[in-house]
Amino acid sequence: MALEKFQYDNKIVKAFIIATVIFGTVGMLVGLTIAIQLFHPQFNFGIPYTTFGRIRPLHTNAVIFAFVGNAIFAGVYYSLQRLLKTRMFSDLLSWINFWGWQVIILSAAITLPLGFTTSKEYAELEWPIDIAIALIWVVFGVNMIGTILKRRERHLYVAIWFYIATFVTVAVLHIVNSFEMPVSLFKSYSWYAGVQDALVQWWYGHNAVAFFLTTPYLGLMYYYLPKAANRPVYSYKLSIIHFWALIFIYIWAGPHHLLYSSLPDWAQSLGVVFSIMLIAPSWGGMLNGLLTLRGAWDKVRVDPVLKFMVVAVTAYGMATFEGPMLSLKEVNAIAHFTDWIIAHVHVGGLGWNGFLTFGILYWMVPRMWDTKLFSTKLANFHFWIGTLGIIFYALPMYFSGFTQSLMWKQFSDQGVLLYPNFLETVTQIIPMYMLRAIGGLLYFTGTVVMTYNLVKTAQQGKFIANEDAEAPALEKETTKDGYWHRVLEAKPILFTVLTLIAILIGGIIEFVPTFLIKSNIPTIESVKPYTPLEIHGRDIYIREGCNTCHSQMVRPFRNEVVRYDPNDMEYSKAGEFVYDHPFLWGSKRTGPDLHRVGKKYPDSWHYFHMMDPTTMSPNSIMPPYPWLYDHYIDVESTSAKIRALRTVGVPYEEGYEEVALDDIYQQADGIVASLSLDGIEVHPETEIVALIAYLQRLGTDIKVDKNVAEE
Amino acid sequence: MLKKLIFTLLSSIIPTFLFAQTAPQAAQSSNLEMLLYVIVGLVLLISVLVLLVAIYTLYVVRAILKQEQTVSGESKVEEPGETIWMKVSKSLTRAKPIEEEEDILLDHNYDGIKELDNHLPPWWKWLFYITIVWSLIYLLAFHVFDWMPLSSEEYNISIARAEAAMEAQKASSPSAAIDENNVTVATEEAALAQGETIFIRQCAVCHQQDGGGNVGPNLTDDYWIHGGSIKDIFSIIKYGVPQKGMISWESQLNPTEMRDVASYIKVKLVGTEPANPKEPQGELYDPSTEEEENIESDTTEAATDIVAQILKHGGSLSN
Repeated sequence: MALEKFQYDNKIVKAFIIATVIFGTVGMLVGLTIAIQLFHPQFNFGIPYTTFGRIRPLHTNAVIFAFVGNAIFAGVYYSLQRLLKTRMFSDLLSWINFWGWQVIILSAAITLPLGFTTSKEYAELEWPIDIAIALIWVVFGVNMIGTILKRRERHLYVAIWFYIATFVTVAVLHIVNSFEMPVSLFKSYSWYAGVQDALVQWWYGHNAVAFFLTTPYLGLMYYYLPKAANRPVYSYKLSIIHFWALIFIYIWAGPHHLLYSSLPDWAQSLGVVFSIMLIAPSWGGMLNGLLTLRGAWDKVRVDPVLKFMVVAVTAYGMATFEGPMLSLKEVNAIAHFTDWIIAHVHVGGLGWNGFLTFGILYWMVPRMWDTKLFSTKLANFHFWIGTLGIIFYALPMYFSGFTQSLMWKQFSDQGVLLYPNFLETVTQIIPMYMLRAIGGLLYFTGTVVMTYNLVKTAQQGKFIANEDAEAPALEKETTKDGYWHRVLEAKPILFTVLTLIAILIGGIIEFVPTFLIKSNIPTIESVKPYTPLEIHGRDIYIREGCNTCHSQMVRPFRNEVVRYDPNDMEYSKAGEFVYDHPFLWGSKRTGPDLHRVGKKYPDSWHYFHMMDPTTMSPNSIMPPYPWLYDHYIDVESTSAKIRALRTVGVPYEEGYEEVALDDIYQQADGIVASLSLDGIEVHPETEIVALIAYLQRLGTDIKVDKNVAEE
Repeated sequence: MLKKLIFTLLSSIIPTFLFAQTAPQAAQSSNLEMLLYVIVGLVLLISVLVLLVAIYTLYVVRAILKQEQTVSGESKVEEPGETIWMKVSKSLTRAKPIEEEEDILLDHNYDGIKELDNHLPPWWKWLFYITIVWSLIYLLAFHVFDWMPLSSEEYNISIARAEAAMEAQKASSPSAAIDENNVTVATEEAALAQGETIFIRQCAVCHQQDGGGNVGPNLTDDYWIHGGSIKDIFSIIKYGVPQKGMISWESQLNPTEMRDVASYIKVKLVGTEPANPKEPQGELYDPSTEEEENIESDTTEAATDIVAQILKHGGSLSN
């Protein structure tokens, strides 16, 4: 049989490797910055662009989409060519993929600090960037499918199944979650509202973890781990079962991020049970990885590449066991909104994604530069300091999550909260925040050492831009392999379609009833749309990323109702959020919940508090927001905002935008007047007035009837 | 019977379900205690699981190393028979020993990567089955048979339980029975010291540490928006004035604490000279009327319009 000669494209892999290392460093550095801000708020330098609320999304976006994203592309572009015995489908598409992705990252790095954000976690980027992401992702998909179609290998290896699932699902997730109504170039409102928005967002958010941080990395593991260990994959059957089970089940589990929220109970329960059923499929990947190392454990002791991989796979196993446990309602009641979740995601992020990336880089770079690793000693140092970093990160966060949750929940014998002041529960865990920053610093140091080691390795070698290879051309299959899945592996298009079906089912079954059946979100008559001034205030709340630290979801627990709504004892109801485009429930309580903050304090309290939180709450770790006092809201944009909100279903009357300005000034003047009673002079168009208007409205509609009755 | 059986089964899988279900028995024990049990139970459960996994992994590694040595010929002589651990391992993974690997090596070759055709590890398979069955039971229990309370029901149970506990507490301890109708000024130093601590911790943010007022009104002058008697102050602390931003402290301070902080305000703050006093708000209150009020009024509503009526009476500060 004639061998065909061709060349693998290493140049594109090199570009993605460089981007991975650079953005990994940047992303971790931003993470370290916000970690320090939590015990030393002044570390934001007093300017808007570096406050926690704005750069926490920068950190998550940078490490997920820039660091892990580029690592995925690097790993896929390297392994895909070799697994299919062909060069990439199109070099042009490869480079569009590369530069497009970097431009997207750059635009994220600019827009997020500027406060252009949709507020939806891991989907904060505004609509023009969303479109760019969709386009570039399709370019990647076309390039990958094209490569698969011109392959010289009859069957697709398990790694490629995972790549296909990644491409298909991320495309679906991104597009559905990004439906939004543009107001201006960098402002939009989510198409969905309240409970529905939350469901879509966490379907997306959860599966961003599943299909951006998990499936592509499982694919990478299936290529690089057996290569590095030089051992056959343990069980082909296990690969098949755990692949299909994983992608089918994963998609359902999103609602476990919304347990005890206003999401309908049936959807919450689906989130619980599918998370539990996910244990075995997830562990299937871990087992197949670890058992592949049978007979290679002597190598693990000496080879840093394998060391990183073993810890990565173990961290994956731990995180995928912990995740389902956190999905049990009673565990979730303790862990949700606390640092426990932060610990959980960092075991996954630092352990699984980080360490697997490092292992792969240490394996690929010497091969692509045709040399040996510059220093095994330094790589081992990186391994140990990285592991230590993970431990120093995770343990304090577990401890602080536990401590704070218990403090929130404790009642005294006399039936009152033992720690009624939320701040007490924060100051208690500040030492843990310091330890965590040390953990992050250790991990970051390891990454810097790796960068040095990789650069030195490249310098001592000679880069092979185009690697020669040869393989026989693909021939018609002559012998039929009996196994059904084997047949499927030779039909990439059918395989892709089946994957798509598998991942669509869960989403559809959860979405359709939530959107169509009215009883899922019981109407509350007194809940009305926001006033124009409150819309402006809400947009400021979104811009400053208040939702990164403050939830707006009083869960149906006695302690939360007593803490956040002592006067009326109301937990948050689904019907209260019907005009919330987007929803702002939040996922972490670094500060107290705000859903019932409306009318709780006088206007002047908020005025002083936003100016300098420590005046109203001594020792608060919330940063001051002085710029809200000399920036003015853009009253001109009011009508565009109202029109956009009307388009997505908020019932403002036709023509209301014409008179909205009157309402703005009337409401603002009221706030100005109330502030002047406490001796404060303020211009009615300043941002602080709009923000106060929004905060004072929060969660009060449900009480309207009651207040009328009282007065 | 069946229900009970399944319930027992479920609660052994997740001890925490007990939390919501066994309301009658649990009513007596405090919330905190329950929470402690739940957490200890969970931690134990998770530790046991982690331990099992760790032991298992350790064992697999050992077994593999042993096989490795066997393959490389370092110790050709097997110990007589299989150890129990080896048997357990074999039954757990049903893996082909490394030396017989050739038998199950598939003819797949992807860039040099080969694949074995090992069985699915039986324990893994069973784990998967069990989670599926558990999930079915879970859904049935919550949504078909209503054995388990949904979140709003769970909330109602916890509130009812707390209220029952509060009633019991009130009956058994006199301090819990203090309310706006019977409260009197506490003058013991210990009580005033406790009042001061609470004031600094909770009230000073809005009223200033010296009571001079800031966001909240000045507490040192003789002018009161809602009345200046101990009962008025107690009542304001307890129920708050939500329209004006004074929150209700009933759920955060117990009756004794509310009395102490109200007493602290009356005894230690009123009449002092704060650094930056806020201008007087409300109506002039004559403290000399309080004794009268203790006798005459038994509701807060009465207390508020008592000011005018009482001005003509004399008397001294009661305790």
